[in-house]
Amino acid sequence: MTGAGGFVGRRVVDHLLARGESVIGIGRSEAPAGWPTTAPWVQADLLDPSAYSQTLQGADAVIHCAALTGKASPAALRKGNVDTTRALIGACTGASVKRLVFVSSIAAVFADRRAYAYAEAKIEAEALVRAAPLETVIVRPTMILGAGSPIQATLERLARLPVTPMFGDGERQVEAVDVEDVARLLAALPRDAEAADAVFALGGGERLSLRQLLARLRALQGIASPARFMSLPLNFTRSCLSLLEGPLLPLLPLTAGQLATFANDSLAPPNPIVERLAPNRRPSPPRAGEQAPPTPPPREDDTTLEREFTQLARYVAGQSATTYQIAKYLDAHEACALTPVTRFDRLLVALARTGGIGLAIADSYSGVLYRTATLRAKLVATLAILECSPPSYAVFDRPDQGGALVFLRMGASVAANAVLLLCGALFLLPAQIVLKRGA
Amino acid sequence: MRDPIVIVGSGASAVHFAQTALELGRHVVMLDIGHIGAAPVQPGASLNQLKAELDDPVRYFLGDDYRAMVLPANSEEYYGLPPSKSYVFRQTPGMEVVSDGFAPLHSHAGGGLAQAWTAGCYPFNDGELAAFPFGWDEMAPAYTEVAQRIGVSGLDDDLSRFYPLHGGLQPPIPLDAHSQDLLRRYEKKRSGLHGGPRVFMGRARLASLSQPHEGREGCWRCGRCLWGCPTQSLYTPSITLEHLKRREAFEYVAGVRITHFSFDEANRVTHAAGMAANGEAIVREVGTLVLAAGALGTSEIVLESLLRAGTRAELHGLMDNRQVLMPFINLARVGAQFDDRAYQYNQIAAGAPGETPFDYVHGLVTTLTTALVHPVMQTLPLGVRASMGLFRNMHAALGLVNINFPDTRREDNRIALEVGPDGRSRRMLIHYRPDAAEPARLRPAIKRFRALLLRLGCLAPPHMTRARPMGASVHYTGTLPMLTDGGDLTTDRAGRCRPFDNLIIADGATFPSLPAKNLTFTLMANATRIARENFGG
Repeated sequence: MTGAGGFVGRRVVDHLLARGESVIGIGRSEAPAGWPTTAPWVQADLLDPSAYSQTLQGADAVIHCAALTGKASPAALRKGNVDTTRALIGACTGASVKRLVFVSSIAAVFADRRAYAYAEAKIEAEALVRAAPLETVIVRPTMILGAGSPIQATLERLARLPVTPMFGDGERQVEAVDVEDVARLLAALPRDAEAADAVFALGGGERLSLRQLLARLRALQGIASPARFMSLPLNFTRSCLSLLEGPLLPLLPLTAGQLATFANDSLAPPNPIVERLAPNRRPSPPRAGEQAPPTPPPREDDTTLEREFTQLARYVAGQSATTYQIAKYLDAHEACALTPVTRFDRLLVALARTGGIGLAIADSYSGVLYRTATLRAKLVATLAILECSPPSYAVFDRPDQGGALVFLRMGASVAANAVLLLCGALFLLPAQIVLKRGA
Repeated sequence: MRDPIVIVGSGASAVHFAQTALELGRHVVMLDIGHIGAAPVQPGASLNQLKAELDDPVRYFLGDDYRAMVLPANSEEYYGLPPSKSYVFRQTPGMEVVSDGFAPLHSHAGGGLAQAWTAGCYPFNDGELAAFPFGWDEMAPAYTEVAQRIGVSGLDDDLSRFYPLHGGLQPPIPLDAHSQDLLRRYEKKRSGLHGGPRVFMGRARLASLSQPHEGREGCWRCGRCLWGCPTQSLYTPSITLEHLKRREAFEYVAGVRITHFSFDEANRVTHAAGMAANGEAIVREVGTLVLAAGALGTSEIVLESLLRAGTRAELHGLMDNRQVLMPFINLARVGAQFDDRAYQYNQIAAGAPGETPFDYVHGLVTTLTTALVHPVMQTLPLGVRASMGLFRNMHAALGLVNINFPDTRREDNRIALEVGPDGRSRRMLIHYRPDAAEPARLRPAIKRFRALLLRLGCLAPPHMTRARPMGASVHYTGTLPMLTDGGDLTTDRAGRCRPFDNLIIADGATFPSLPAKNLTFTLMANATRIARENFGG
């Protein structure tokens, strides 16, 4: 893991360790405070492969998180992003590393990259990675937010001002992503067979205009008054900055390139790999009043899941679960996001595990008012396993007997669902509001 | 045109071009990436027998990593791609695509995208060929030739007014009970439907055998079309590819990605070049180069070749069929028994004529037979148990009309290559916008299909009718069009690409317009016609 002590890298390490991986961190400085004792730390400059090539021997994968960002000269940006990547690729090849996961940036696909040396450096580094003689994965996160995010700190400072300066019209769209979701995805990439040689963008799924983003960051800091914006000419400012950057870089508050965010959309098209490895990404920045949810916990123990599946199979299809089906249900929990993350999700699963009316209420409620609930995903996974395997598959093909009475039965079933939903809504709706989806 | 004839690609166009060239006594080399799938498991088992008899049926149906399991978080689709077909869309490292207004799909499978097609075979009539430099009379022999090779089943019925009859037709596969019910009602209401919404219905024309044909069996309705027909009753180009491989004058080279060709000062193509799977550069001398890598793949090769020769070009006129999906429920069949022994894809088609023959709108009416049902079930706004109760009774009553619209070439819809800062890497840029009048064309046609369904006793909830994004129908065409008097980077009626001397384009890139009907049958017939025009003496 390069850049292992950084804002993103440090979190990736935690996710890797939680997945049972052995991790070695590489960083320019000494190990950061709180570095896990189980993971060796190698202090090395990436430009000096002799300092770390031994470390790479026997590694299944390298996640390359180290990068130079922010205010820096084009030469420094090139050195910190392109030269380092070239050196690392050489070392990886020499050590027969199987896969390189490269953390690029959404800036690499910005259409307007005027004076944006960082974006050009990332494009060049991507080209090196793509041409490297090993399996590669290139991820382009959009704006990464979360505790410790440098860009978030800058935007928060702007948002706190009585009048927030806005370069351009502020209508560019941003699909920011939380650092925990970035880390969760990156930790899954080294061993995902389908991700080999993939290139994709990663966003949080919620699009905001820059104005909306700044207004939300303002509200999150507890400032009740609405955000007010003052428009500044974007292109003029960029031109001036790019002229001044050469001689006056140390004195300038920011560079022309850094304003590219105000001139481009930062959006991530839906991607099947992202949806599979990091589903249910949290809104970022969190909606006002919501706390960022904790890291997904490890899945529940086998006995609990076994009992759960037996109960769900009987509930949805009136079937006894077979040993084979139970084993598949446990497998599915390894492969898919079926472990409740939020407090409300945990409440729904707990309610369902009480069986009988509790399960019926939780099912009806999640079918209408919370369709992405983990409980609903567990129920759908149960359906999928039951419909593919004996003896339960036959139940799916069997209509009720009784001619026109079938319509009556269907009507009754919908009515019963509505009654259960109403009962559930009486206490679950307030609970959902209090616990929040993200809490 | 000299030998060796080097063909790039192995899809529907490529294999029929190759077969025709071989039959005309030429020497053919086919260069292909060529991913292949596993052999079908238990060919003699029906879908439900697979569920009952396989050792690990969940793994077969949902995949090792449960990828075909559609969970609420990714429930945009009505089905997950079966693991047995994942090879069709398996990507190889290569060019990155940045697209705007277009969601492109690629296949590097041996047999190409049609390894996952639904076998529709609909010849274009004179009206639909109006922009082509030839008409039905010149295409008819090629349609017949291809139909005789692949086996096409269908009937002379109300839809023959839209689909001209060609030779080599087998009788159709017996209908599933729901399709039978729909056609019976149509027969009763026929005159009202022809006068009112003006929609016609009849049997689909399919490259699915009802009778044995050249060593392949007739369909015995095992219900496994989507997972890959285990008896080869449903034609795929890989069947022809296997047949070609047994011929002496044919050389098949798999695992090769052709990126460009080089040409001399007289615009004579001399070599095709690319890379093998192990990264090794490949250069192959050509007598005649035939590009049949699909409109996007072929365009990429042409643009890259020009770029290497110092010319930066764009290709204009990209087309694709807009598709609108209209799910429906046949009220009379609610509570009916569902039959798992049925052909799985559409057996009925429907046609809505427009002001001109080219404006014809093409519908494919699929009844829900065998399928994994959890993706559909969870779309109901109910708890899972209530959905299950409803769905069991509705299964035999559900269906879907896939409505296809024609497209025309517009300059602004284009493909270009962007050179990376290292000078070597490339990005393909695709830009597509529908024409401004599209909403006004779609709305009345959608209404007509909804009216058809209503008269057949079926409800199509309006909120469930949705347009698929452009690119989803995978009928990409138009970037190197056949024009009688075209300039550079157009083709003549024999597919010869101007200004080159010995470069033939044999795939959909040559279509000067895109009628609504599924194009694959015409791709095969056109490639056959092109081969005959070039090598037929």
